[in-house]
Amino acid sequence: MADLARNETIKARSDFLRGTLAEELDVQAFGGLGEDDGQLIKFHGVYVQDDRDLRPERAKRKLDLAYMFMARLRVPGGVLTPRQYLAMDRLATERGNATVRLTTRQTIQFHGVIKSNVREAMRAMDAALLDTIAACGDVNRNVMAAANPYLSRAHGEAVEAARQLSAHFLPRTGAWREIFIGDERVLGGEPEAEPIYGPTYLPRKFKMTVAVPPSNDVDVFAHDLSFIAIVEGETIVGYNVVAGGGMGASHGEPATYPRVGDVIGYCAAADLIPVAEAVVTVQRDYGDRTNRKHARLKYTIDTHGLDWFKREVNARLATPLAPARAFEFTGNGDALGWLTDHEGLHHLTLFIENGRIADVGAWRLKSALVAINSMPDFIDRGAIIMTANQNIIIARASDADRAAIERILAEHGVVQHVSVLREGAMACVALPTCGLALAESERYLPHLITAIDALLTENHLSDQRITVRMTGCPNGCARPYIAEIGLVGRNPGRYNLLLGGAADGSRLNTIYRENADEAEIIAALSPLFTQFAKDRLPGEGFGDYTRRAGIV
Amino acid sequence: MLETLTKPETEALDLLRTSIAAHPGRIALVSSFGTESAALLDLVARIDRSLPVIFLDTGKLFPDTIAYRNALITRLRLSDVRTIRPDPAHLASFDPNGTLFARDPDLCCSLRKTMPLDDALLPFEAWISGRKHTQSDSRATLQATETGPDGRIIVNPLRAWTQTDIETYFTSRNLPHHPLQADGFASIGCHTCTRRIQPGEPPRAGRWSGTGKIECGIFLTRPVAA
Repeated sequence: MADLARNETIKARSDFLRGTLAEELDVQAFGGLGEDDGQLIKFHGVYVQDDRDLRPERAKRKLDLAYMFMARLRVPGGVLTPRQYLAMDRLATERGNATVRLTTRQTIQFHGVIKSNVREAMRAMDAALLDTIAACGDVNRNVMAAANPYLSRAHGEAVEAARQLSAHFLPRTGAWREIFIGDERVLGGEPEAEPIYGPTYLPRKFKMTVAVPPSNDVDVFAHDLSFIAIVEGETIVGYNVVAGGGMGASHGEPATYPRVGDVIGYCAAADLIPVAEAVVTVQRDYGDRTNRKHARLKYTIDTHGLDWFKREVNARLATPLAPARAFEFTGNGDALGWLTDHEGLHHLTLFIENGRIADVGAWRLKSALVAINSMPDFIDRGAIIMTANQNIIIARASDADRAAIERILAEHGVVQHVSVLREGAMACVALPTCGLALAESERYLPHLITAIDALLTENHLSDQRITVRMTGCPNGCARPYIAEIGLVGRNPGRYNLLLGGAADGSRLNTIYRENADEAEIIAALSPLFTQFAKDRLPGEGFGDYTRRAGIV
Repeated sequence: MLETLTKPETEALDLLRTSIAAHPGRIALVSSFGTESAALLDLVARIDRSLPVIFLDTGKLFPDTIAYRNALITRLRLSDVRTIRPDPAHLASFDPNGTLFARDPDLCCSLRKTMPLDDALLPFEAWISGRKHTQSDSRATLQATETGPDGRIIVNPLRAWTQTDIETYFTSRNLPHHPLQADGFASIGCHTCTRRIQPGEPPRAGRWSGTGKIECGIFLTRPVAA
């Protein structure tokens, strides 16, 4: 049998995720962490990173890397209160790089937190009733849900389901509070066995989502385990269960690949937790702990076969899964702009390019959101919901709030109208903070969208919705492998261009050009748009067209 | 390290232990996750983290109450918090626009609190409440255990606790406060029917303020169905 991956030993020896983190965070002479603690701190929602823009200059001057930490919140369903949002805005300014970064999984990342600020940042989160527990690491991570629990009864239930899943699969260890908040370890209390995970947790990260059709905003096919709500009357009666999705891959290693999840059956709403626990424990028991590049649930399913997997899951259930029910998705984007609910409250889905909330020159989105969330009454009644597409919903505004919000956005230079292409585009963080990035992503995609938009306009296609997703490396945080146009970084300035994903996120795309620079990307897309404008069927999306026309 | 328990703490824990043992699997805690709820939730969690906790989400709650509930579930490791919601068919019939609270707050409380709670309590023969003598005149004579309007036992472990007892307990157990407490709210229900209180007002003065209503009705005798 192959040796266990190194991380398995780190976990086993960590005393339930403590390691020497409490002591090492006190060492200020070194701005980073040792290798083992650097792996462990991920389980607490934190990565050690460095400013890669500064690497060449610091290397020349024989300086250590410019270490800094990234902290990621756990926010099931992406719902924050205005008070929580304001506290997180302050945290970003006082302890981070003065920007709030919304992620593709409905949460906030704080970048540029230096070591001496990590504990203070965590205490600010704790005071706002938030935490970063299990936001990274080999555990169930932030659980996503269809955006906006206030949209309908079913949407409210979907977010509740996400919260239940998040709470149920939260590690039981008290390590997070001991290391960062300063709680004492409960001595002589109950032993801390992890009843679901065990002492070595899962073989690899695990991601869950809950969708409410017809929107597939959470991209159910891209995560390890998803639940598609089946709604009768106004309430969720059950879920179709989707298992084995996952985006990550490595360049040049065909044994690694993105995979869309399979619909494996249907369960009653009351069986949500037992079904999730069955899937998680099959992965815990059978996932590959020898090779971290082969450890996600998707590989477990492909190694043993889907039928085996279904049998194994059903064997752990009192009520086996029933045949899947019919469902239909119409897209995976957000509907931007205002809508009004049955109680007369207004909800604004606000476009936020690549999820970055900042003040830059005359565009002062960060200040605008502070002003909005500080409004009397709204601060008590309102809510802020982060979507899977890195946008924000300003929820539960009264008529008066709505007018004030429009005015505040305008006063802060926040333009709400962008091209249809830009609305559906998404990029990961990449450079300069992400240690995995091979190419730019967030800092470059806005520019490339302008170039692609020009092509669309030439072809009278500027009203055409096309999902464009870019990542700086093949790990796929922006879910590029199910986009209609995917761009995956290979080298500085060069990307694999992938085409043929479906508009509802249900199909993988295929590499069309490898290692292409901007000129090559534009040259590749230009004739395809011309062809598409001429030959498309009524209502046909670009991804579907590239498949039908045999382009990919 | 030996914990020193205060007298109210000891009495509350004793009553809870006795009551939970007297109704195995048939007793629940009903919590609003309001300003003082963390004390009772923590006392119960010290005995049994898996005791069913019933939380009524009326659909009109402050988002901060939901956030507080989420945080307490994590902090106290409560493993069976059941969020109960009104019947959507009832809402569609009687409160389609969500404005019933202004016209008929009693009917609104019935639809959104009393009726869902009655349903949620069906599997139980007893429940635990956080009511205190100091909250209002009508609560000044609460007993340790009482028989409720529906015949179920209601256990009141905090009935004799003073404001100071609550504050002492929050401090000694390092419990987080409801986010609205620092902002002038003393007793918290639905956002439609709760206001901040002025200095000197009793804690529940901000509930259904301006109406004669003082209780939502979950502790009152039910009108007989026609």
